[in-house]
Amino acid sequence: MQPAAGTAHSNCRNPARAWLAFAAAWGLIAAVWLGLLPRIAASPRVSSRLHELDAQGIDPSAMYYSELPVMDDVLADVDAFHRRHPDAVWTSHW
Amino acid sequence: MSTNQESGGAAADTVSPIAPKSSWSDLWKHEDWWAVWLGGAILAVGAIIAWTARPSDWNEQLAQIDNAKASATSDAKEVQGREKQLVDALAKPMKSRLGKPKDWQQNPLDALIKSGEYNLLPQIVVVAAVCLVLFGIGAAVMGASPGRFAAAFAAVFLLAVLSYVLANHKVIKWANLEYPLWALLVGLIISNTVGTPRIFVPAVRTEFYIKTGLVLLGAEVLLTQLLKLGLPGILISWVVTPIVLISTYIFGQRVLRIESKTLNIVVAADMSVCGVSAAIATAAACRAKKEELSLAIGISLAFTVVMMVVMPKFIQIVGIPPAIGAAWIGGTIDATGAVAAAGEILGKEGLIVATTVKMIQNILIGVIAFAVAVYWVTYEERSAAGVRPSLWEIWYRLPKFIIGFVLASIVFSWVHRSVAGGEYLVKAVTDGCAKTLREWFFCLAFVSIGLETNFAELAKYLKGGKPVTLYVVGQAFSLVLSLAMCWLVLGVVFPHVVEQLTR
Repeated sequence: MQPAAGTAHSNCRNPARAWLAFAAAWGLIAAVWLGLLPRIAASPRVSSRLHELDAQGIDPSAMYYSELPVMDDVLADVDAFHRRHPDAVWTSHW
Repeated sequence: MSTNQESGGAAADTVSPIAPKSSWSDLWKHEDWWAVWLGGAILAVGAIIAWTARPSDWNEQLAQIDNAKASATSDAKEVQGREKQLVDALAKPMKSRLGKPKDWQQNPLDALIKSGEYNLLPQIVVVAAVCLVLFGIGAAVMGASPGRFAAAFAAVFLLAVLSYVLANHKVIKWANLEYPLWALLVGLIISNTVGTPRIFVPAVRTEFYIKTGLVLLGAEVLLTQLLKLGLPGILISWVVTPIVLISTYIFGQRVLRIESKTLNIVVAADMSVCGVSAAIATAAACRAKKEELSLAIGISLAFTVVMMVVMPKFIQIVGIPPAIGAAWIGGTIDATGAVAAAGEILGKEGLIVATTVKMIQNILIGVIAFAVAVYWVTYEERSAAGVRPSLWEIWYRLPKFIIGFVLASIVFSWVHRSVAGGEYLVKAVTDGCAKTLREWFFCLAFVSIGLETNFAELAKYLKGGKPVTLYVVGQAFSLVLSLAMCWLVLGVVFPHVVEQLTR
């Protein structure tokens, strides 16, 4: 497939159709991000859940544990658990 | 001509092209080595800045924190507050200069600037300048025109900013739809409609950004955190995960007969280890195609959205004890953030167990990426005659960035464990610069993948629905095996841990 002039590659052979598809895609994104998502975020149920997660330092989109704000609290709690029960996770009572 | 060839890459569409032979000049001519130098330089500069930012009473503060931790009467929250203050002081010189868009709900501009509260534009400009200088030097030494690279980089970076703004809507974050997905989408929309402008091409360098980001990620792979949950953590995370990974790979090859072995291993690692970060590391380690990485991430994110909602409900309805249920969630849901959100529904102990199990699994990506890289060059890329390569041949073929990745992990784990105040220094470097820059590098990488990919290529890999079947079967096996192991470990062998955690 030959790319359109001035571009590295493109799936659309017709420039007018290409620009129309480009505008339609961004129009859809604008409608969702500027209209739908703010509305969902403002609904009482979602809003209260978002606040709950924020308050606890939970970022559901964290990719790695170091990106989770709550991880410091969790590790502090685990360390405190180890200080109280030094052998708990190494000795089985089985 | 393919976009990657223009940008200086050796192969058209792999995350990490094969080096045909090795010579000393690779040290400054090869992207892999440049990733090691740049990642290493960032970590070294970060460590120097954190070290020089130590307060004058550093030793006294460390002693006070140690005493407070040892004292039975001290307030745990107060100790944690002191530790945070110390880390903030060390990280401040970096953190105040580097930034990324914030979360927003109603107005997308809130991601960048909010009157009277914050203005992140200067910090984002500094990030852009740092990236431009670092990657610009690397690209120039490898033969690119600095002027063309700078112009192209400005455009690609703006697309990365836009991707972050899309990804940082709170509802999107809530649904665990991570920024790589939106970076990919932004690139795909351009390349599949009007086409990727030629002026963008010099900065479309997926491998360079991903590998440098992975070297930085190495500093966050702290082997010292492995034993945080003792034997239960090791059994749940480190026994089940490799079994699921290897079984899923074998199932994909022997039963589904998936043509691409790299697609097979990337989907298996993504599903069994820790989602997107594992997919990125494994794809780079085995030189998977960019479309394969995109596909694996798309499948994983789609299933994670469902699992993070369904699993806690199922656990509550069936009446599985919260700690066992949380460990199950930590061992099976791919994404770390989704694990925290799902674990929290089971209560505070649920959050602690789920995120700690996931953290231990996260650390496994260092071992998995290294093992996959060595296995691939030793067994999967052997010569046409089927002769196993010599040790030198393995070294020639090994993606060299993996050395930086593993070395960063070992050095930072050692500092974390052995240097006085090392845990605060390591956290200051990762929080202050490594994490922010790593996220930007991955975002730039996924914008680049989108700019180089067309939908037709992506659809080709979904032929017959085999990757989805692989994911579903692998995940089903993981769910059964993980639940059995969680029940055995926390319900039978270490029930007192659950009891003590609940108290």
